[in-house]
Amino acid sequence: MKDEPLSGAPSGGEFFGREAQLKYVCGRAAEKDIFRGIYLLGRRWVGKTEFLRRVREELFFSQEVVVPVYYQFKGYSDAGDFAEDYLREVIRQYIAFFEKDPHLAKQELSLKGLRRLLENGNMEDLAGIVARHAECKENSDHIAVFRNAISIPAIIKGRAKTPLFLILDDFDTAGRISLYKDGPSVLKEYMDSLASQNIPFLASLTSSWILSGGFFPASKTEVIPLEGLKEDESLPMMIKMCGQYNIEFDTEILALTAKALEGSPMYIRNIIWAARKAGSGLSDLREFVELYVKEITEGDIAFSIRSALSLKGLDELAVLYACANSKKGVSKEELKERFSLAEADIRSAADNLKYTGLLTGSLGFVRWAGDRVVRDFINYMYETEVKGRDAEEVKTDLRLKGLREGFSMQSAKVAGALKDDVAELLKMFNGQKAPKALFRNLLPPKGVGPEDEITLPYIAGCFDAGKKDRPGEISVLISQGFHSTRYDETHGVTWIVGIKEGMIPVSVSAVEDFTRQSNLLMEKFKITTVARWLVSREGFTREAALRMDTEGVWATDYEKIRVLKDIISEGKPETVSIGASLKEFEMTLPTRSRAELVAANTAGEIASEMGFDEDSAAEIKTAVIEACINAFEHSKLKSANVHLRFVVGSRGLALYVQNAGRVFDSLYLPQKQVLEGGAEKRGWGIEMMRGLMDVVRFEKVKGGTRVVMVKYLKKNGEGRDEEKK
Amino acid sequence: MKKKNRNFMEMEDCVVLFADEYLNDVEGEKLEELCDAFLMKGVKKLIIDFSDTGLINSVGISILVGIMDKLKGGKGVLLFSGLKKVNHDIFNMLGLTKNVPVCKTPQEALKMIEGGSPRKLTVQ
Repeated sequence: MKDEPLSGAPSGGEFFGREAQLKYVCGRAAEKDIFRGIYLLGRRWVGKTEFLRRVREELFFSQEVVVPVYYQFKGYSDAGDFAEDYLREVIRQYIAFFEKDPHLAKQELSLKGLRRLLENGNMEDLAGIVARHAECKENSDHIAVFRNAISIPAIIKGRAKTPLFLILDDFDTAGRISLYKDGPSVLKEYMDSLASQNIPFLASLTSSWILSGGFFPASKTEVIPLEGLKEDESLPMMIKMCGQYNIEFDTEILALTAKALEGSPMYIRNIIWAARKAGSGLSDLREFVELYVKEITEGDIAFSIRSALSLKGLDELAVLYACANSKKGVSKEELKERFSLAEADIRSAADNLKYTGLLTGSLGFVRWAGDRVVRDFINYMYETEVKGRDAEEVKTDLRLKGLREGFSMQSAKVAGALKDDVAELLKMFNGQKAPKALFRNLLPPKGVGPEDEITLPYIAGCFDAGKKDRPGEISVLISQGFHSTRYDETHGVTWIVGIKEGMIPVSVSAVEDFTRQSNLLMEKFKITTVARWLVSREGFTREAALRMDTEGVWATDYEKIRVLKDIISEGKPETVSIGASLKEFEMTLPTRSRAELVAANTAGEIASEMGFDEDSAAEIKTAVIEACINAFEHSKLKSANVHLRFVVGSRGLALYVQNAGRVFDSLYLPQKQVLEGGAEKRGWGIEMMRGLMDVVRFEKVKGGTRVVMVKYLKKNGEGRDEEKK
Repeated sequence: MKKKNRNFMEMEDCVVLFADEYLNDVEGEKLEELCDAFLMKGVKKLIIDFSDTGLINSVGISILVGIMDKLKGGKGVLLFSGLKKVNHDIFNMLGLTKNVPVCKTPQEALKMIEGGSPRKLTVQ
């Protein structure tokens, strides 16, 4: 079998996903006599065409039960033109399947050439269809031409046991093809021909009007909705594409891009191509917004939308503009008044726009069914072409809107409830330094100096001290940690954190309530070293802040929480002390089985070179293995790499293992997982690292998590246990 | 009677299983499958020898714990042998050595099985 891509199939898997849906549809297609039709329903540019082409590709090469034939309905309005195109495509692909030669499906042949090919291949019946086509065409009998062409699937079914499986793209467009001048569309007759001969098909639809048109018995059809790609599907592909094109990116910005573009493969791909073309990155919001505005106003996205809409005049643009900017839809009367349109103009515009899939109508209202990208495009067109505004001015508006929406998406992504934010933040505490001003409400910062900073503890875990009973009450988190690189009782500290949601600032009575609650908790959990911290979405009244100063309770409002989060995310932890840095080595590992051995062996070599004894080198190797497999396991993406840095110091070896992923959740699990009776079987990696190395620390860094491990060189006569003290 | 194989050695009613040089998920599962096969055959005395094992990861340890679970409660006898210092320390740290005796060599383990009280050797 010649394993070449078929005509029009997407290039080398650059951006696709949807493996499960693809498998399902191909499985259904290859079932015999079970179903009659599948509709793939999804809005424009959601990836339907790519999906259909993949189905065809898969069926072409991997099965013999049906002959896959892909046909894309084009902008023909005449049944005769459609029929000739359809006839050529179906016959070419039929022959290509049996010859197992994808080239034949692409080969341009005249009708005569096609007929000769069929005759040489002993397919006289099909050659007869081509001959009849030429004859009817000569007589300008378009209806006969059409009926002759749509009989091909039935003829093929009759001549062999392998039926056609028709893959019909842009099927809505069939509604635009008239059987004869001012006559009905070809749709009903075409569907009747499929139904009467039980020809299976997969058809893509942008709108659902065909489904309700009674063209095909509902009991014999299945509708599969196709939505935008999910973040976990699109993100790996985006990262891969950015890597291929050397585009600098930030994972969060890529995720935001995917979300802003509603998971549309076409938009996402175009934005990445645009970044490549412009030599730009996708590493901050501004870069994305700049690329987006350029793409939807003058780039490939704009070109695609413009071509697909083929608007016939400003009336249509006005109707789209009105609907795109109305949440509840626009009535015909409103359109008439607003744009001085006649009833006939509205009807004509609505009829034409029906096929774009951008509008739906019911009860006299026309509603927007498109996505935000097309909406922005329509708005730009309307503002510049109808209102006559300066293009640069409109682009600036779009940029501002994009930035505003982008920021709100970013904050929505990290926000959720304030309590969740604070819990997440607490888990990021890792010995960093933070300005004291962020923990006080009244005192302004006095300048930068050690006295104006506090050192955050290493937080080992965080739990909810109980649910609040009434809305507006303060909920409390208890967070346990220590002020040292190793945990012991003398360094232990508990943070009791009160969280006030809601839109009312914290009052004196709320402070009193919190201090009362924290006293009870201190008593209950026998807490000796404590930090009390009150976080409020809307800040504090002056009196409440004064009371908190008196009580020694720290205060932070929501804005400062965000600043604190930024500071911590930047990763400014306490530096590890291994003496003067002598050498550094770096390494990048793919997430592959046994890749950790490469890192372990390297670390072992470095350790031996540094003078570590054999046992210590083996301990380092084992710890590196654990750090790597943890990093692999917790990477957001299975395809992501893990980066390692080995820093050789005069007093020891520091190892940094960093992934692009979530915080290692197991870090926050209770530590006691040592085998005792029915012990847990996993989660020992961190315990092992801690036991084998002198310092083990987890840091949340931009886009991932970093493990820092240190092993100190022993001086003569010094034992490991002594060092750890 | 001794029957020697690359991965195991049968000695009368006892089997010595040789762990790979890197005991990870894949090698751990192979070891577990081998144990299962012998347990199915009715062998109740197993020695896992780690003389060739330089590195063990946490997944490998989880699998060893799984093997220990299968022999728990008098269902069989399990001993470890040939542990390198780093691996012995890890087993100690995670509490495995509380439940399974550790010997220097498979021969020493065999002697322990022959001479020791079965109750003492049974996985707890």
